[in-house]
Amino acid sequence: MTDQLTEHESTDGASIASQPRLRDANWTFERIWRRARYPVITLINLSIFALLWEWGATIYDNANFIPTFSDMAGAFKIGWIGGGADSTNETFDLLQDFVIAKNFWVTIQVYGVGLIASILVGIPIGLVMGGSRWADAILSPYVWTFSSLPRIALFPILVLFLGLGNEIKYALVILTAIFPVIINTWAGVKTTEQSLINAARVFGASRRQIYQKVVLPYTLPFVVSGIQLALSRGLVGVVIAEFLTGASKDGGLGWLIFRAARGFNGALTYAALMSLAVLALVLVQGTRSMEAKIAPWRQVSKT
Amino acid sequence: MSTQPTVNSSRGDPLVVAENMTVGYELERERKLLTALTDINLTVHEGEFLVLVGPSGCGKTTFINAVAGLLQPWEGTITYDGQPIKGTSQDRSMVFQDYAVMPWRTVEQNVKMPFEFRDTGLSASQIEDQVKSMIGNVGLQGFENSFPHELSGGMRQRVGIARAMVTQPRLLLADEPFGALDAMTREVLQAQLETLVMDAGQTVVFITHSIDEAISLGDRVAVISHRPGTVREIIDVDIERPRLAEGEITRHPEYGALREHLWGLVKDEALGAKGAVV
Repeated sequence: MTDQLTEHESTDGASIASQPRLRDANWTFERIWRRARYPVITLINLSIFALLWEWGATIYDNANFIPTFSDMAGAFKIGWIGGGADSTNETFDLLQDFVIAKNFWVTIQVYGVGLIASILVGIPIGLVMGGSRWADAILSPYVWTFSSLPRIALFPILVLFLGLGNEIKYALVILTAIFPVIINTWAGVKTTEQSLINAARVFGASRRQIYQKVVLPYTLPFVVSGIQLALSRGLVGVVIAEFLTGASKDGGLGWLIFRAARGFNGALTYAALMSLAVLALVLVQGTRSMEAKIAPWRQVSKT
Repeated sequence: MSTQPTVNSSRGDPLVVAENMTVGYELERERKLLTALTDINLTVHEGEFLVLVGPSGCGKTTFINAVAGLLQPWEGTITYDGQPIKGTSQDRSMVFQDYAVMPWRTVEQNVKMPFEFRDTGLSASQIEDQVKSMIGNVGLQGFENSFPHELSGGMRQRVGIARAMVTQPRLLLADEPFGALDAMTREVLQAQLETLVMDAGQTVVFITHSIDEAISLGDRVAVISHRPGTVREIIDVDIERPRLAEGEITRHPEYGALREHLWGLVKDEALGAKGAVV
């Protein structure tokens, strides 16, 4: 019984690290490089990208379509931290101090509220559909129809009911974000391994305990991937809503990109677009590590 | 090697009795009922190690699920200690083919699981002690806080065994527990299971499709025919224990004859199954 060495050793680094096999190594150049290479490569990579951009834009020579990287960076700086906008020309020039920051905040608010609503409503719907055949039979036609429908097609009807204010933006975010949450949650409940449920039953779990202690933890990583999908879908929803609602002032990042492009302000268009890209990147990477933390037994990841 | 289910002197009272039991399960996707076992008559005696062998798909798992209380017989009866089996019980525990350990729980939390669902009357510290010593018994000390995905298949099944035995059930059900393991790990675990069961004095119903495993572990080996399954023959294995802890059971004078006889039976069934179903 003590002879556990006949077993294969654990693949886990932590348990192997507990064995006295580790020794200190010298900080050779190679070891330092191995640690630092990814940030360094990324930095070089992005620098080359910026240089190519600068060079390409100079040759193309149409700042309305493609500004130089430095012009874009200038607009980025003014739009985020201010200092230098030509305030004498306010009515015609969108590029005001803090304009990106302001619109970013507008977008984040609508997006955040819509997402939280999608998550809070979507998870229970998915759980109920997964857990009850009746609920599944009743709800699934609607869920599958709506999730397949290009939801932007609902916009004209939604305008009639909700107008062109914030309500329609919330509606579009929810309509784009809620279905991945519902469907992933449902799939998690549905695919819970029968042998895990059988094990819980053998050890005396009631129906409720099976749901709490087996189905819910099994479903959790599915919910996380659903949320991950919802994050990117919802961002599409909010940007499209902002394109279409056309506020007179500060209608969000989508609005800003749309208006700036229409006004041939290439620098601001691209600066706002970069801000959106950074937001999306941060969100996706953030949830990716969240998934790995919540469910380390699952292989990451699908996007 | 008798072909009649004779009661030998060391064998205890009947613990599980299946009489003319027919049982199956629902194929959910096709909305069909599938008969897995027909007219089964089989008795498990207190203290014995009963092995069921048969071709895959012959209903061995269905039998063990019925004993566990996960399935109800369609016809006939199945009793435990004289009472019809209506549901699962603390007395009957199970080791699963695919381990069925909860991936989000550590080794310790997995082994402790049976205590969460049933009141064993033990205090929290008694439970701690029992869990700890059981983890030691299966050779997992030092891995209490590891997660299953950090462990090898053999170690995961050790968790499954510990979880099944930690409440000291009277009857241990094992559904092809070593089927997915490599040959070396399997032999190690077979020997350890034999020791654990001998120490605890448990009754065991063990499923395998390996004839060698059946002879190595079983006091009796029941050959189940192909679907719908029924008991084809029951064979006594009168080889003294411990069989696996030391020495080589395959060198035992009776081993070869037993193996040949069993293989003859199982081969018929396997071929029959092929012709019947594929």
